[in-house]
Amino acid sequence: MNDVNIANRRAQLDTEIRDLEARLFSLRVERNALAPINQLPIEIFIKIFSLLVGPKDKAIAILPITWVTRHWRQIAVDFAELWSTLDNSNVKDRCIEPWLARSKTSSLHIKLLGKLWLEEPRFQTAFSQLDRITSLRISREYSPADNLQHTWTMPSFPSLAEVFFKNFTIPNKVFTSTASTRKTLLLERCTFDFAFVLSTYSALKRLSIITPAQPIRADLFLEGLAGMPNLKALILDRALTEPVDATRHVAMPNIQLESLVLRCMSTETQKWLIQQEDLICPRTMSSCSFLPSYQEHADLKSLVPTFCRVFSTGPRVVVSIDIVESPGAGYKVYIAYGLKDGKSSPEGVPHVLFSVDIYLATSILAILTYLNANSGLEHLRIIRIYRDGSFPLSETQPSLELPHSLAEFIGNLTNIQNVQLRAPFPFMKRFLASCADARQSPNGNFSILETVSIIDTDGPDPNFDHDPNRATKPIKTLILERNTMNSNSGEYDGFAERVVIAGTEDYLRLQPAYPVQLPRHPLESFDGPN
Amino acid sequence: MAAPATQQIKIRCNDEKEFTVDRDVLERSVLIKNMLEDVTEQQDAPIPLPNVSGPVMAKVLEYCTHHRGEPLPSADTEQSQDETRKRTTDISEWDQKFITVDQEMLFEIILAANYLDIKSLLDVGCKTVANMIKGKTPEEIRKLFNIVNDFTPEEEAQIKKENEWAEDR
Repeated sequence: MNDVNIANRRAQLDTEIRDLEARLFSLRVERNALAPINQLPIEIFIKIFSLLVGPKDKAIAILPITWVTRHWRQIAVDFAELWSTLDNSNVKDRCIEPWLARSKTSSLHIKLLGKLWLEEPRFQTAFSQLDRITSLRISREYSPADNLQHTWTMPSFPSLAEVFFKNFTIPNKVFTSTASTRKTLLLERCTFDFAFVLSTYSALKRLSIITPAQPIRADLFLEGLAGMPNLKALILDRALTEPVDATRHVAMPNIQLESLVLRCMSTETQKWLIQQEDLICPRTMSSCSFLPSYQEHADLKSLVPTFCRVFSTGPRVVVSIDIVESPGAGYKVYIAYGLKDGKSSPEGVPHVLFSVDIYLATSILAILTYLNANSGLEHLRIIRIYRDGSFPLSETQPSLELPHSLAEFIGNLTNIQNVQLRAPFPFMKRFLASCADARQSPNGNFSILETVSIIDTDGPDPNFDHDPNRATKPIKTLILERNTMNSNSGEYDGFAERVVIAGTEDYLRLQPAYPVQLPRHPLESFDGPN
Repeated sequence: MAAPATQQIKIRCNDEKEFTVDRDVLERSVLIKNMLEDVTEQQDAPIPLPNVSGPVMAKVLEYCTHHRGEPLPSADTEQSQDETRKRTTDISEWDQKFITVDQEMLFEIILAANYLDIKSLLDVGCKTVANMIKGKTPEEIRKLFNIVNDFTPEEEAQIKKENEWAEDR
């Protein structure tokens, strides 16, 4: 074969290879189109892909999806919102620009954690499209050495709706520009000009100030709230100091908070704040949490009537009164937590139903007694009971013995529908057995009991002596959650119509010493970057 | 006074399979709920559901019966925005057991939930698929769903470049 023929043959073979490759490619595309998953419409693919980048996932977790098939890649790359988050995983020189290009014109959410030097060029690229940034969460690693002196030469953000800063000295210009778009402002361990913030944040809906470098005087703060008429949720943690004149009463601005958390202030400040009852808005409030300072909880009892009076008029309220003690050897956290649903009685008189978690026995029993006498308990959650059947109390007080006080108390609560228990099994066994017995009588205690949850215990009860053949009225649901051993739900047949087992494997894996699950406050999910 | 008897509604699937179901169970489907609200007089003729087969509808009804009486998700815009931001792939114990089916049935359930407008079931289906995908390499994903690599050599080269995006410096 001469050179010309060789060249011709080579060209011919190249064409054939290209044709075959094209054919192969189209066959693969056709085959993929037949796969059951590819029958899903694009909007469902988008929904599934969106779930792959949850708040705890790195933004970059979406990348492998674009490498599966052409169809998947096209869907993912075309959906701008999948590329709208910039975090530490993708704020790198090599991918930040294509990432921004894929996000097209969608709103940008920036989440940066750790040792950050925001002056670096890569961050300047990230912040280059200021008008698209609607959420900015920056948490610097706290370093006592720089003592919050690090300042940030950053322009203002015209479209920001959500701002979270931790460990920053924040210049005023960050808060300026079209501040009317700002809906959420969370500041933790920051230095900032609070008077300036108050004057510019008229549209703010959520405000959280945690351990500011300079606490704010409580009366000035309340006066400043007048500049935030739309505020719905407020967290103040070590943020306020007492007014110079403790007798001063501040005329509350016309705000209608839906949730309020006050934590760790001096006794004087907390007393003063509680006196400003208008801060609590019973008509609109759905949750209120109050955490006295580390040393002071003696005033709790005196606060209970205030809380109960205020909340008994609201539509639906979560009351949380937290107490933290530091008796020298570390902290103890005790929680009281209440839930109330307002319902109208046939006479049109507001009838209030509460649920209460029991933690610090003496104080909480006072609350329970008050609530039971003045309204009516519907839900009861016992967070922790010691193995010997006693409640945790402060070290200077004797423990309350069970079943003497609590069991007696529970026994009188005939209108309880839901019970959640976090207690050793011997207590639960007694409780469940007494429920089963009492429910046989139509008017007996627990006759309307619907749900029992058993949580965070050390295993199922090997000697649970409920006889499924005994004629009792089963409750609707038994929930076994985060217990240390897999429970055989069959043991509870007849006691409940259905048994739900949840979280047990996770719990086993984590092996917490004795977890205290704090009730989540609605605002806390906004409390910082994940 | 005795409680009013629950209204029973008949539906017919695309394979002619018929079901007679309590109205409150069927009303988990916003599509059917709206249909029923539009009908003022009681009808004996079954509601035709041309996009759902009998076996899939049986599964959907199992889900609806279990979740009957639970509040339907609201269409509140702010709430749904929050939901999008909080994207979570947690699935309750019962739902997990319910959705443990073969892939074909899983996707059929998702399509049915989408058509019937049962948001919570659609969520369970999508979360299940997302959980199947999470943490897997592209090759593992292809194997899982019986699909093949159909990228052209040029696209492969681009993907190779993108691989570097995920690498630490």
